[in-house]
Amino acid sequence: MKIILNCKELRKKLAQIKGISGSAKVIASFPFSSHFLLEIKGNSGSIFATDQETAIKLFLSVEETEGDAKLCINTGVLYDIVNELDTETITIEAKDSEHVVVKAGKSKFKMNCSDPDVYPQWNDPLYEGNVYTVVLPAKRLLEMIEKTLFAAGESDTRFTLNSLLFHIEPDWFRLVATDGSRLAMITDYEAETPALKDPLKVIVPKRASLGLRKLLKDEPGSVQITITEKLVWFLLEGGVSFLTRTIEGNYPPYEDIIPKYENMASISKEEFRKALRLASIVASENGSVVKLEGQSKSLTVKAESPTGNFNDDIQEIYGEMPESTGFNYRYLLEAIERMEGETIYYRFDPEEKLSPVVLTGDDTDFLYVVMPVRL
Amino acid sequence: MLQKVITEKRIILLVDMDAFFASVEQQVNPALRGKPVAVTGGGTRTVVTTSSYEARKFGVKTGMNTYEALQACPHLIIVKGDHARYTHTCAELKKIYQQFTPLVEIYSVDEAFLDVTTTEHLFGGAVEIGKRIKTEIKRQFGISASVGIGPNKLIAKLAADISKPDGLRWIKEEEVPEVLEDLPVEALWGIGKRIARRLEALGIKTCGELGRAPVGVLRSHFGIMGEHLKMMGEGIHNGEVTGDEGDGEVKSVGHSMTFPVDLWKRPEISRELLRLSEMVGARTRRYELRGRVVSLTVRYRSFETFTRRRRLECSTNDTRRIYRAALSILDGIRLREPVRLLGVTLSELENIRGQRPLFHEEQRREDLLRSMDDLNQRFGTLTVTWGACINPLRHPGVISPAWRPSGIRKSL
Repeated sequence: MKIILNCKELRKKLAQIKGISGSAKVIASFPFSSHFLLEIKGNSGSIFATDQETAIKLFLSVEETEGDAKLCINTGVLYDIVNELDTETITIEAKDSEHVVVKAGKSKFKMNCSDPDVYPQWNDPLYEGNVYTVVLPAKRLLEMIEKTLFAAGESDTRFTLNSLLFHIEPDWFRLVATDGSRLAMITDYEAETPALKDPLKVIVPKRASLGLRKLLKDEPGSVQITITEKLVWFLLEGGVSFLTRTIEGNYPPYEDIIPKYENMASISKEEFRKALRLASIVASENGSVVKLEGQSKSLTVKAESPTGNFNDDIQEIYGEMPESTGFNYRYLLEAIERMEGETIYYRFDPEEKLSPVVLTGDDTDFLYVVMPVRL
Repeated sequence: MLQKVITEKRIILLVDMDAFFASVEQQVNPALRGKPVAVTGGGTRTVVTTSSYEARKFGVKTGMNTYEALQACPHLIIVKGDHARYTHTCAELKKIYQQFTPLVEIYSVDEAFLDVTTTEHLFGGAVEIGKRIKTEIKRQFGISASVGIGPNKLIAKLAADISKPDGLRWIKEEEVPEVLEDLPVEALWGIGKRIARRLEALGIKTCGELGRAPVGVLRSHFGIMGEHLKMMGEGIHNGEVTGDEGDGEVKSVGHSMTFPVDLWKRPEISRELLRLSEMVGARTRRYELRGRVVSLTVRYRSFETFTRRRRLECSTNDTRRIYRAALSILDGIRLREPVRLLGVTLSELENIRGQRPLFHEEQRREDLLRSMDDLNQRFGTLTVTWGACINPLRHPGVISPAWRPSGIRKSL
């Protein structure tokens, strides 16, 4: 068997699946994840990689081929080889499934392979109980992930928080992320959603969402999200398939904690962002705490630490801010930087100092709730 | 790290108070001076914790119950210990030590290590420092102390033990082999009866023999501790004087308790663990800290002591989480003997600065803990506590080995 592949394309596709075989920890728990399956049938090829939690399937165009093949190759090694090469094409030859010879120009690598028949199989997850689909532009899904995923938990015993919640209603599609102290939520009203009797909620692991984000970046078309009981399947228009297990368990009742406030102030986003960034230099030495002090028509951003202190006045505010509220500066900055427009709308409860604050930008579909710090 | 310590010649002082509790009592009550006095813990367990040198002459020993002690010395005066008095004295003693070096490690309520390597020349040498500390303690508190000086903590401790009471001894580095040669291994700090027995089975009775023993033999019998034992036999010890806990960052928060009667039943042990977890949790919350590693220390009736650790998924200061971790460590241990002491420690601490949780369930949990802490702060520790902690054993209030004047032990 002999195939000739386009070097540039192979490099790109290996980079896409490389995330799956990422960490040594994953490989230790599931050795297959260090390898991928290369299958050639007639004139079309495919790449399949899995780490048990997620799986990716990509199509690969074949320049020339002699005979069908099924090979199980080490992802990292082949990626490193392809990355170093500057030739147009590479040739992969195999006499059996135990070795391959990779040739490019005058260079020649002989690599050991694993048994392709014991590698897990890709099964399209259709027809397993109830199946629902959502369709939206890939760029939009990417935006939704970018605006929420940062707020997901790092590592928590409640690993339902180390994730993204996909919440689907007949009229809209929403992503939610929270780490227990702040929450980011974005709702899309344009997506094609299924006719549902009850709301549909599935929890997608953070790691899978990161992998998906990478694939979406290269997709100009749409993405079809197919949700079954235990799996979510993302089918990109360009032919990439991404499959992930969902997290079983209950997501915390996030809708209950989103407040509706009358009181609101609007702040210049740029001024606010600048002041927070400067404050962070001092605050990072002292538990990351910044203080927002509202006066009539101005806002003072303060930070203190054993080595010094900082304060800055923002004049461009409308409405009234609470007298004094403390925040983890990262919790404010990370959200503000992701908001559209020139203004940040700050909604709060004037009666209760330690109640959540709601931030929005001009993109009203994106909402951020953050808890203050006890000063 | 080890290299650095070995190559640098150090001078370590150990100040060890003579019959500390008894001396303090004698100082407070002049009627007790010059008489055989035994201090007992409070509560139902009336065991001698310290006895004055006058009482020791009659054979009164730490660990005897009052009956045995009175058998040995019928005119013995038994005093119930006042721990607040001792801990206060200890904190005051620390101030004396700090006049001579910033590197002061309060090892226990009556022992402190001082690293004077870089400061001894300022005071006319280590012996001079030792003398001045002894004089100052005598002047301020009227009690005597023994000072041991050596090239490391092990030898300093040995020097103090040899010179007791009211002594001062400097074992210089070059003298170490000679001093250790015929010394029974049990005289070394850290070698208990149990290890001594096992060493004797290998034909090792003296430190000299221990130092010469092939490391392979020791390792096969004692595991990684084997190398450590050999080094001890050679008088080598690399432990650093950890310095003042009051400065810098707090590294761990812990509590331990010796019980009035040894515990054997699981419900009793878990109840005490909950109490300890609550004490640790309350203190961590007060300092606005959270920790990721929970350690459980168990001391058997035979005084054999060990510690097991568990790393949490995420840091906490919630009593319940600390308790669950401690309990899960306990589940992994098959207790061989009744338990005399339990300790719970939280380490790998991080500053949290009061970030409020978003979800109601956690908010209620936080509010509950906060209210309990406030009440307990105002009306005394464990005024409000968990139902499972009710009806505890009466605590005699023994000062734990981990007690520190600053409240928190810095080292792990």
